[in-house]
Amino acid sequence: MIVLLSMCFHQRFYADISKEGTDREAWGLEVALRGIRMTPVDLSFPKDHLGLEAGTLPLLSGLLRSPLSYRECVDDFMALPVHPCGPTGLLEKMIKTGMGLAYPEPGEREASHSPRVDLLGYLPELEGALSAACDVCSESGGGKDAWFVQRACAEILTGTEGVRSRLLENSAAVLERISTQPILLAGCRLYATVDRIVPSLQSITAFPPAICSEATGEGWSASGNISYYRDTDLGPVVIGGPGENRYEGRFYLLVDPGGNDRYLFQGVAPGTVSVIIDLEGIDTYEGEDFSLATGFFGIGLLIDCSGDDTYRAGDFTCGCGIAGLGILDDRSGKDVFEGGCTSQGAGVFRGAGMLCDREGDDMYRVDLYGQGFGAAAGAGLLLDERGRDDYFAGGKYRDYREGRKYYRSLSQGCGMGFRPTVPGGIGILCDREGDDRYEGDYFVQGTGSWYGLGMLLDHAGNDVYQARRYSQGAGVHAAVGILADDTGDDRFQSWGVSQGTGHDLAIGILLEGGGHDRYLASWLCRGAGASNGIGLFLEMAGDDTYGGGERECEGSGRRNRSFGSVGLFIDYEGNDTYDRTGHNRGSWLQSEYGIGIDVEKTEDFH
Amino acid sequence: MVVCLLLCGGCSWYFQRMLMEKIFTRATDPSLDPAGRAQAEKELVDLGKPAAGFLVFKLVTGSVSETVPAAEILAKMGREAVDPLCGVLPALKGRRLIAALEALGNTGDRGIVMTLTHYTSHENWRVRRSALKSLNRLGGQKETDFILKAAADPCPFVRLESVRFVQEHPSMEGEAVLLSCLNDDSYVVRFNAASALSAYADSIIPRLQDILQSVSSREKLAFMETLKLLPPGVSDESLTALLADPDWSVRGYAALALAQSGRKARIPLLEERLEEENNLFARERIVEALAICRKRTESGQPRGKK
Repeated sequence: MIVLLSMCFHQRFYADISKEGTDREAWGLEVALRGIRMTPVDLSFPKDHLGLEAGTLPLLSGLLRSPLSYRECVDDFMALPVHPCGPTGLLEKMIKTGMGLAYPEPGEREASHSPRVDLLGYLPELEGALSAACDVCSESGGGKDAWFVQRACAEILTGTEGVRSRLLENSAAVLERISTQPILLAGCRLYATVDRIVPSLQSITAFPPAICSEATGEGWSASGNISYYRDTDLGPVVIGGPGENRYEGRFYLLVDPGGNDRYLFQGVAPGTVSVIIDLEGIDTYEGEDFSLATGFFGIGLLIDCSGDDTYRAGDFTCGCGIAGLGILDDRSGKDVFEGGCTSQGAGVFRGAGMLCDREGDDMYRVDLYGQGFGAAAGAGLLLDERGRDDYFAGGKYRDYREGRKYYRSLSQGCGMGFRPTVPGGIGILCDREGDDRYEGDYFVQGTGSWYGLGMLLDHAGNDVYQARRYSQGAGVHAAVGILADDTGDDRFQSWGVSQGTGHDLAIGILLEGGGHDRYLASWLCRGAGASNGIGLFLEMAGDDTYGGGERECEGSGRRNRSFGSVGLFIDYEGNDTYDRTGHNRGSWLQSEYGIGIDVEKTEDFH
Repeated sequence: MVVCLLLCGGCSWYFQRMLMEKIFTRATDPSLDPAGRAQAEKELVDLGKPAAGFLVFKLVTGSVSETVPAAEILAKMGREAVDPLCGVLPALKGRRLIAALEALGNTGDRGIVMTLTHYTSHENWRVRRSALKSLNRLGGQKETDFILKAAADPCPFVRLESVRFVQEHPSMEGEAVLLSCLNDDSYVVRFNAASALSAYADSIIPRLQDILQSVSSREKLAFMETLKLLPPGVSDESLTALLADPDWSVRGYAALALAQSGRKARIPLLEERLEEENNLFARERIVEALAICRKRTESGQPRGKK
């Protein structure tokens, strides 16, 4: 009851604040646009100069068509209840609105189940749901496409240029053929069923006695206290005991009631389904590539209910969907997540991946393409509800620019495509509370590239954002990048093409709600447009400091292809400090279609 | 005997094709220097008709990285490329069709005007734009109707091509089109139409006041682009009137435009306006305008010189 009330209050409170803010925001945008002789309609010119829009995800198409609808999009994701598979949860939003696909109807998700007295009593229901999902996945299991996608994933994401170009040609055709709708629907139904059963499993106090200390089968083994095991055509069904256990291989259904366990997963085969539930304990999860809550033309679910856990895995892991659905749901504890490429809430090839962490101070580390990453019409979501979290992306693959001094990150709310034929996906990192730290180099923190949409949404806390280039609300090449931080005294540091910058028919937006914030960047930043891009920077309140700003900053719009890029910088209220361009209570025009306004009183612009 | 002849013909065709493939690879190799690529392109152009057929084949079946270079080389072949290109046009879609249309526009052959006009009503706006671009390049008055019709196209980039044509080929209808484009929904068209209107200075200057009195704020703001490009002094009276416009944005831009005319006499007028101005944006533009005027007065520099 209290939870429900607080949820309603949160939504109502947020809606009120949001409405007031939205009115002010819309007014500011209108004034700024009028200052460069434009109206909001002017921003809706076609951005799809290559004709890839047909394959673009609907949320991105909508934003490209009408860039000022960003507020609705941000509010929806910020204000939705955390429960990811609930009736209006973020997973539903991502799949329905983001990918334009169907989601299970409420009736299908909310069917009740009869409580059982022991854990084994839940097996038929779980196996029934798994078997239904398996039927769907084996029907649309990919066939030859699965082989191609596996190779393409390895080569496109980390391979050499030569192999890439030929694969990309074929990827576009394969992408047109793949339909993941049935798999995603089946996956969401399965997740809803498991999610409903988990609280009942947690309330069980008497577990079945151990029947053996070691069990093995084809491609798997379990040791410690094993209460039940059975090999089926679809894989092993194992129930562990409450002690310390060790599991190795691939599992169809694995339930561990407690103890500090160690899991070593092998890569999943295409078209398979796997559900892992760990109810208690400080666990260590390790996985090869394509393992650990990964759906590869199939479904991978991992739910860990409590304990300070460690997740360490290779590429395509930790809530990753490759033409399938992968969900990692960690419900409490201070956790450590370490992944390679395409990990921690990543979706590629029309797949969806989600990493959901509901509590605790967590640490996220990924090499490349992770922490809310979507590519090739896929969608990835990293949702962290509470705690002081530390996000790091990069450190392995160097970017070719700037003498290869910095790393490619492509993470923390990043949507990207592959030039020239494969459109991007949607990547969202949503962190609700806590003083967080985000760190990366190139393409990071709410960035979209090549028909992709990336969003980093941080609701509260004093956060630190550290990046190099194409970051912090940056869109590049017909894409959209959004960084929205609602409250808290935040620090933003980057070098260039960042903090609300759109480059090459793309849109970059940085929205800062309140707090005394500090910004540091050198060029093309804070409301800057280049090559017909649109850059929006909105700072709603607080005494802010703007440092750096050597060129094309604070509202700058370059002219290219015979029409202007648009750069809007709007700062409301507060006693702000500007290093170079800009001043308190005033407006300034730059490079034809760039404008900055610092609003103290709205009457000033009447 | 017949078999031998056929074999010889086949072999010769095969080797010629291999040769062209090699040259084309060199022409599209990004690791080669521009001079090397240009040499390869020239070799293909010199091969004549067989190379045109080969390049059209590349255009139809090649990868993304081959389509555009093939079209570009075809364009350099001139009339020799027209027939094979026109032959495959109906079978092409998307980027291949766009590349072919643009190549046709670059051949300089006016015989293809009718073919191009057919594509000005295509469902894909990129195709419509490419057809219009090519028509623009080929020039001439024969296709004016199609191009003027494009000024009402739903896509701003197609309308923009129409504006460009009217700018390059002035006509009475053209002026009317440009004036109507000042109220276009897209700034891409509005501002370009306003710039293009400066080509019609002779007929516009006597009617400046009338035009400005009859148009909306949006049109006035776009018209600032025209005023900027007119000879110094001719728009001063109109700009002075705009300093009292109800729209603060118009007032601000009028002050800036006046300053750019660089007349000393404008300083008292701007100072007077500054005292009366309440809107922050307009005030700041007047201050900027005054600074420009004072700087020019001090240095004695006329408009347009640093």
